Amino acid sequence: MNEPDLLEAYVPPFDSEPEDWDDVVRRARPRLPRRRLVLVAAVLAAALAGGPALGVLLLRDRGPQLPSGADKSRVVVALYPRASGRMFVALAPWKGHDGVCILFVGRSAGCWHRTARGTMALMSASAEWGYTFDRRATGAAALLLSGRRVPLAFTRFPSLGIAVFASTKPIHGDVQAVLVLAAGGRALYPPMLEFPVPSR
Amino acid sequence: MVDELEALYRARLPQFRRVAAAIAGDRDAGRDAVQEAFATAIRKRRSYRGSGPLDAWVWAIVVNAARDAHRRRRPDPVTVSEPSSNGHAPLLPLDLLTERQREIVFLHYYADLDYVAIADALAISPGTVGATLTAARARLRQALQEVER
Repeated sequence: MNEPDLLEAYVPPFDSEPEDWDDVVRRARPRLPRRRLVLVAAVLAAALAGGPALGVLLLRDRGPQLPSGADKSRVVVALYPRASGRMFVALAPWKGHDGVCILFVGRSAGCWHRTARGTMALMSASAEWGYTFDRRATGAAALLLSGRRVPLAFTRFPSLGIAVFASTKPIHGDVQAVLVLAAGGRALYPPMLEFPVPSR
Repeated sequence: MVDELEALYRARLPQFRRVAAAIAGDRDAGRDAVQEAFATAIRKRRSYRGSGPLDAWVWAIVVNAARDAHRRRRPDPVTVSEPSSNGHAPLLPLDLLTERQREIVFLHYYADLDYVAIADALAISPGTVGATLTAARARLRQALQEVER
């Protein structure tokens, strides 16, 4: 036996075996670093097992608080990453009413009666956010003066029958209104130019 | 860049797999190492500076992935009872080579890489590749003669 014979026998060729580039692409997808995964799991576990306690921790001493009418034993918390820091939203059933209390941490808080089309959008120099009870809503967008739409993060909370939306990135351009969208991107209402003050 | 990686994958997959299997010591581990290596190449494509050939950069990643696979499957020496621990036929002559000699032999024979390409892939000089390959072949010839006696 010589060297080529030896090597030929050592690992026979792979010539006829199929390739699988799709598998390569699947494996290349970003994975959450283990530490971040643990953190996410911890937050999820805390939200599921002890949402109210987590909510209390997150919301302490940060400006406006959940109204006293909120059922603080059933707080749900959402977190929106933003370039200027995370934005927390806390929601809870409105005790004695068919409605929901919402706290946009550091910005605004109030309780609202549930109506089939109940929707509100708030705008400030730094952010756009709001809520809708409308079950048809699947998204929201900021409408710029140029006519361009900038999608907003949209989160539905089935246990409370409400969805919350918020901008998560700086919006470049003048916002003229917020649109609440149904499937297919159709605006459910005329652009909202008035923003009611919530009842407390 | 991803397109170029895909083209390289499709053009030279049998060679990548064969070298990886030889280093890993197992055909399945070799296949898996190549898949993982190309996934790594996609994820780290921005770190490819373009100063050398793309295939040399990918070969280095494949060799590393195959080495990792070999380490993961290396059995406890105390429990080894077979004459060869590499999972292939117990052809002892290749087991007599050092790890670097074996890698250079595999890249040279299975992938048909020249000294410069092997040097790029293993981050050593072409002169070292030549000297190591010469020594490895001499060792193999000597071992084969001993087997035939």
